[in-house]
Amino acid sequence: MTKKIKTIFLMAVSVLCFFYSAPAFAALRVVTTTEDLAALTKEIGGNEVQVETLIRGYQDAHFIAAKPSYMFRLNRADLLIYQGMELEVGWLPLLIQGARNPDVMVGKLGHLNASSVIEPIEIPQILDRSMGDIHPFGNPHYLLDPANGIHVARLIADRLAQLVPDKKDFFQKGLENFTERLNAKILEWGQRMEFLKGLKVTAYHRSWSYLFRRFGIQYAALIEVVPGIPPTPKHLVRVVDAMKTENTKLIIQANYFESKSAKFLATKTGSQILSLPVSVGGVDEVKTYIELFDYIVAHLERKLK
Amino acid sequence: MKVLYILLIIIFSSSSNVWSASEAIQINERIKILEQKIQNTKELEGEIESLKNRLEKFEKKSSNTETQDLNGQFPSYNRTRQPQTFPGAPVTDLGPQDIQNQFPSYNRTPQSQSFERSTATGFSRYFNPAISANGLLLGTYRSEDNANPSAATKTGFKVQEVELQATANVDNYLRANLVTAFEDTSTFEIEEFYVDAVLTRDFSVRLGKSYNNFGKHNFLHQHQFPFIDAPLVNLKIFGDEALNESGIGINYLLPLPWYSELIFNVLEGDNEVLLNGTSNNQFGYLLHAKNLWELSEDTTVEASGSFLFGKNGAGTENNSSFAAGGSLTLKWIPSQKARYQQVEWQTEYIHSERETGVNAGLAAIPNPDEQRAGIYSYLKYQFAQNWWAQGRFDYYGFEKALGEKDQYRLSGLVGFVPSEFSAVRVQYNYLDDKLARDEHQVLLQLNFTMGSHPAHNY
Repeated sequence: MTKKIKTIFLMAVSVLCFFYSAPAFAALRVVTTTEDLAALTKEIGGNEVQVETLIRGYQDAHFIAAKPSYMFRLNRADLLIYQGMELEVGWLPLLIQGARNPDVMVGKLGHLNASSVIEPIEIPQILDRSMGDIHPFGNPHYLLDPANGIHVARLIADRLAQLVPDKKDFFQKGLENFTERLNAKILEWGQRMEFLKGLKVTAYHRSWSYLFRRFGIQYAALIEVVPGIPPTPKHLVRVVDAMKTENTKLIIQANYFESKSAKFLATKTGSQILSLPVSVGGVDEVKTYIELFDYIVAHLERKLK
Repeated sequence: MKVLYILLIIIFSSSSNVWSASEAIQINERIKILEQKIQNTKELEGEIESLKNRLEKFEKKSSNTETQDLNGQFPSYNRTRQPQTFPGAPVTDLGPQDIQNQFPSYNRTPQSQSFERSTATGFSRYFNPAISANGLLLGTYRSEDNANPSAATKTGFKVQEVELQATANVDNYLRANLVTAFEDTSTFEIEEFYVDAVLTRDFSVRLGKSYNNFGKHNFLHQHQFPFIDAPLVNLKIFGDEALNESGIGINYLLPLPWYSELIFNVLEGDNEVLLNGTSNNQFGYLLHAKNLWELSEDTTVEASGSFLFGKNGAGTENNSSFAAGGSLTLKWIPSQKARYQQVEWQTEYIHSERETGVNAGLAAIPNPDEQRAGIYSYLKYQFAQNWWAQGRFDYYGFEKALGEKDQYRLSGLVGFVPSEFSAVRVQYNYLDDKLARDEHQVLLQLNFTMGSHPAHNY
């Protein structure tokens, strides 16, 4: 009997040791909050990093439940990269706390706020909850300007090089390669979107501000009452009025928002609806950061040209 | 001597030449820097001028049209700040120049800094804890009369609870949390006051007073309750104040391929029902295991088990108490529609035993041990962005103490949650407590939070 217990005990310990030590064989483990950041990290890190994203591109990063399974993933990470500007404020602090991983805590090398190299726009002048779910540090959807992708890629390359100094040259090469391709694409998208300059569109949420700024598009109206608060019938009537006055015929929204309100507005104003991904992985076809803009640009062209 | 003299002249002249050359390089460098600065200033002036013109056009346009002012959606943002070069930011962007330079100021102005300091001390306010206040206002209708003044449920209105919370990192080791509560506007209590520290990867420790991790419901604050009232079994086994003890707890994330957490607590042993031993060294011991599996991206199942052991103050000697419980929670949150739809089903069973020993004067006639057991099961369904419908079944009496009657309760709740910071909920209870008449209750609650309240656990 004692022998049997001993055997079971040893087997249990062996299994635990296996699981405990298994991650040690892997490359640098990077956990990102969004799929955009994961895509950028893969571009630079290639096979030298093992990248995992917490949320998928088709999820609304504002509304994520702090699942313990995310803590589990974060517990095994060497580096956490997050979007910042309080995009993940509703869930990430809990995950960091619950992960029990000193390497990814605030102030450590394994804790990277990607927004630290971004010049934010739309910083609210007044901070008050009556204005809805506003972000005190500015609009956090900055990766929808591809130029910001370059800033963030550089930041990631620097941090990867700090964590794995031996691979500094490899990361630098990855960065240069990505920057070159993205810069060429930025020029191409700029030319293709030239015809949209001055266009006014209605959007559900201010997800598009950075993209609009790049292509010279403007908001005519917003479907939500204030950030995070869904539209009321009265508000929708006002949006219809605004759309008619501005003579706008396009409604753009992230593909995770409800479409009932947009359909109502489209019926009342004769507008078209364009439901787009706001992140890599937002639709199956978009697997890289460059593909995200290719997809958006192509769909804008298809709708408006 | 002559040779030495010549040599000295050569050395001196050559060193002065070196010095002169180095100075010339420095001067040249300085000139280049200043020229560059002048160039930058010119560019900035040009940009400022161009932006001013654009702003002027924009203002003219804004004054001509009121259609953009939809509930203040647009004017609320500071989009007119003058641009400022962002120090250290790499710019390889090939986009249009005007787009690059639309960035608002990154640096805080001296004026804003003055608001961020305490005028009394001159110290920065940055390090103040995140502070929030939560209020629960309750209106109740009860079909039974209000004759019993101590009854928990009475027809009328009351401030159910006001909770003040402060959270901050103490230093690079400790994170502290303080929760104080006023119940019925009169009873003040420190509900929680603890510090957490991560010892090594996987291990953390908690010191202080908090709601303890027994099962799923016990560690919730009142404003986090899934229903307006607590389950019957929790009230019967741990009392109105729940298991809320001072002590030390070690928390360990097991090295398994799923989320598996083990918590061991040594508690002071003050619980009014189970752990009221009279000696100072009679601690309570709590072991809690929690496992969560992701069945799919949208669905998780959580199973937890808890065991509590301690001493109680019944009879003439201190006798043992224990409680054991298990819970199962299934959650479905569709990834793409998490704002609009969710389902949660949770069931929890708790059993307790309390030895009651012998009474003074009754020579060695043991009292019967008190056993209690009950269950609750609820279903929460979010059917629209702001709306929830919920149902609960509550039963207490699988085991019950002498003189107690078994009870069951059926509850239905509809919640309107306009934002993350407020909720209006109306709940109906049908209570059969084996008394003369069954009871009907209607509860209406406003739950709101001011300030920077942290997110709630999954």
